[in-house]
Order: sequence, then C-alpha cells, then structure tokens
Amino acid sequence: MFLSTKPLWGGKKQVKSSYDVVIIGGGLHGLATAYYLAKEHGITDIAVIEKNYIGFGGAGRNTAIVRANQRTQLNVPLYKEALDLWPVLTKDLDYNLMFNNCGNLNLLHSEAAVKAARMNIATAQFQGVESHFIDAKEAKELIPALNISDDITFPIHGAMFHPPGGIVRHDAVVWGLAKGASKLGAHIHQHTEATAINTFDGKIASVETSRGKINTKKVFISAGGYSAALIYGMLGIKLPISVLTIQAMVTQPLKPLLNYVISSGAYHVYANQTLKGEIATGAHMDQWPNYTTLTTAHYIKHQAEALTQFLPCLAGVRFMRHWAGLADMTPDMAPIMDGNDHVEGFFMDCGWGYFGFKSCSAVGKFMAEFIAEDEKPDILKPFTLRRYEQHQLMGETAALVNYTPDN
Amino acid sequence: MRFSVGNDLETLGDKKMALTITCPICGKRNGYEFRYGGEDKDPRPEEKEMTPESWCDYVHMNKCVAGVQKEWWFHRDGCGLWFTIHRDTTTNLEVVNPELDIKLNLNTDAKVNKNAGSHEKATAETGGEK
Repeated sequence: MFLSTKPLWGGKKQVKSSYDVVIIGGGLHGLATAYYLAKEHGITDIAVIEKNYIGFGGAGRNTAIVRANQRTQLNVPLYKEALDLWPVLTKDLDYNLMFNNCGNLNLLHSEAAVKAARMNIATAQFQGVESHFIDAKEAKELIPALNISDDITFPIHGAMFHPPGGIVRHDAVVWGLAKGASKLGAHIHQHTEATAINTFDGKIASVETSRGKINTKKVFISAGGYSAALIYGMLGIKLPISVLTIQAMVTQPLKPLLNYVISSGAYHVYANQTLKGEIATGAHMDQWPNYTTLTTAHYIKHQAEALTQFLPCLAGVRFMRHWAGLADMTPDMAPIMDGNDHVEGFFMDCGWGYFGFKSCSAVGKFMAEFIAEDEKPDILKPFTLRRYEQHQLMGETAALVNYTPDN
Repeated sequence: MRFSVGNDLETLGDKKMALTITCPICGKRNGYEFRYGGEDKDPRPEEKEMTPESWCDYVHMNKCVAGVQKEWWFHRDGCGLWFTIHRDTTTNLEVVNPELDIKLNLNTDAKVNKNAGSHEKATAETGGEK
C-alpha cells in the first residue's frame, strides 16, 4: 500500500457516453454532492468532470477555517449543519479529516463592531450555535500573545468567541470525499474539460467534454470561482457575481502561540496556526475582478502590518509560501443554489465567495437531495437566483463591500 | 466553438505583473490609484418600460468574462475621470484596441456560446494581448 501509486479514488476511467448526473467541477461542493447522491439517494451513475485535478481550485487554496456564526437567520442553519457533519464524515468516509475544533475568535475594534457582533451572537444562540461576547481581557487570557493595549491603530474592544468552529485539513476533505464517492460508483474524470451544455426543448440533453459527448438529463455546475463564467458561457444565464483573486500565505513554523482561529474585520486579516506550526493567514480580495490567481507584494506588506499590530510577537517572522485563489462574490454575500428553473435538469451552486470551504459538507448533502428528488429542500429555498429581481437580498453583509458599484 | 475559462499559468510567463491602467488624461498609472467601476453594460433602462428583471439585470448581473472585457474605471487618486478600458481578466493586462470595441458590440446580439468564441477570435485577429 505504501508504494501504491493508484489514487484513493481509483485509476483513470473511460468516459461513458451517458450518465444519470454530470457534475462540472471536481472541487469540494461537486465531490460532496456526488458522495451524497450515491450514499443517500442511490444515484451512483455520476460523472464528476474536472478540468485540472480534483481540489485544484478553491478547495486546495482556502485557509481551512470552519465556523457557523454568520449574520442572518437563513444562513446560520446551513453552516451549523456543515459544522456538525465534520465528525460524521470523518467516520463515514473512514478518513481522518483532521478537524481541529479549536474555536474562533473574531476581534472587535470599535463600539459599532461590538454592537454588530451582539446581533450575530444573538442569531447564533437562537439557532442553537454556541457563540458569545468576551471582553479584551478575556481574549488575552485565551491568547496571551494578543496586544490589547490602546497604542495600535485599531485597539481591541472585545471579541466574538465561537467555540464550535476551527480548522479542517482541506486536502483531506477533497481526498476523503473523492474516495467515498468513487467507492460508491461515481466516476471522477480529472483533466477533462466540459466545453458546452446542449439543451433540447428547455431540458438538459448532453454535455460536451474534451473526452467526448455525455448524454445526461441532469447537470450540476459547481465550479467555484469559474461557475459564473461557465454558466453564462454555456447557458447564457447571467449571475450577480464578481470574481476576484484572494490571497493567503503561511509563515515559517513556530512553537504554539495561537490556539484559536483569529480574525479581524478592521484589519482585514484572519489567521490560524496550523498543526505544523505555521501561521496561515488570509487577507481581503483584490480590488478589481480578475482570474489571475497571482500573488502580490501589496498583500504581504498588508498581512505583515496587520498581524504584527495585534500579535506583535510575529514581528520578524518570515512568510514561507504565498498563493491565491478565486472568490465569486455576490452583492449580499450569500450564495446562489438553484435548479430546474431556467433549464429543466440544470442545477447550480455558486457565489460562495470565501465561504465555500466551510459549507461544502452541508451543500453536498442538500444539493444531492435537490438533484435526486427534483424538490428543493427548505433549507436551500432562500438561496434562489430570483431573490435579486425580487429585491430580497439576504443581508449577510451589514456594510456593503467596495469592489464594484453594484454593492 | 470551444468555451474555456481558467488561466494557464505556464502561458502567462513574463506577463506576470501588477495592474496598470491608462487614464485618458494622466496616462499609464499604478492600478491601485483607480477604483473599478463594473462591467460595461447596456444603457440604464428607461424608467417607463422598466421591469424588476431589466432593473436587476442592469444593477446586479455580470458576464464574468474570463478573457477580454470592456469595463469602467474611476481615477480615484488622480484626476477623477470615469472612463472605459479593455482588460484581459486572466492576465490583468490592458488590451488597447478600438476595433475590439466594435466587435464586442456587434456580438451582443449573437448567441452566447458564439459570443465567447468570438472574443477569442477578435483578440487573435486584432493582435490583442491574450
């Protein structure tokens, strides 16, 4: 086994001429949906089409943070479900997803931020999710390295403490779900590009790929940051999405000093110490839409400046690696999960921005139910595309983000 | 008509660089001086014929082109001008070509798959940067 080169999800397979369901995008959402379709709904004739290798996109580029302390009543239950599923999936997949349930600390740097956090906390508590307010002193007890003095740009007033969150090894989730899905019969076709979707009479007919045509009645596009361009390019459906590069980086490994996921809206920074000891940290997105996934010196400087303000012990520590992925942002910071609307048999899952990792388990579970039963589960109903024309934006963001005039 | 998104880093090569924008008044400047103003869209719908769909389309909807798109910029830390440029969203490079403008407009009525293909064609024919 040690010398085996065969991947956990089996070797390369022939692309069949037809499948019951074709999933475009071999990321976490696509693989999780394939897994749940096979496990819970008996649909095992599935093709997962991935242009690169599985986990190439956001699945392998995020900072692995999981939490369920979002802003609105409609969002929190979905993320709670996702959080509750990590231990279950670890068991079911028989694969260690390395869920480190360390808890999240969201730093608050003004009275207004404290007030806003109180609403988030109330929302979480109402939904049965543990989350509470702690003051600066209590935050310092949890993280002794924290600088709670007044002499920084944004002094710390308190924090939103969310113990059920933490970090999960993102690659392990990709491999575990791929293993689970393929074991139940799904075909994972890597280095296979979906190039067109053919419809007939308002229904899905087939998918063209770089390895031949696949006849199918159901297509699910869940291709992370590439979803919006694919959905518009292949079906002409425009989405309220802007795609932006978002960067992350890790420092050299250090002794344990940060035992919580820490984030700060004012400093635009979030960080956690990985099990290897590196401080993994992410920043805000580029200020204009692009698909480059290029890293810039701008953000290294930004991270260094921000982190050393509230964690001064990091001064002089070197960044070791730096990478970027894509975030597909919607105006209300909430995703779009929809299907059987514009074209019968077409399902989509996009607009996750930087929440795609923490939601993948729950999305897989409920999108699988939607695709299998053709009936949208209640928990997904608020995430319709039509909410934008109905002026029913979800309010996941209190202060609108400044990357397009749309927001 | 092949539709393709996602960049191929190998082909980017020495084009890896930070964004610069050419302001009609100030010339080529660092991209951080500017504020992105959104994809160039059709004119604002008339109040009289406006429907929730047409307003939503104008306000929220994007094409998210992975390739050359026409877009608005505002020289925030400069002269304050609003203007449009063409930029390849997969490389962050400006594509300076007025001919492309005409071709992109011609394609707005065409079918979408064709549109995506024509983008590539237009760029190739006119020697764009992609």
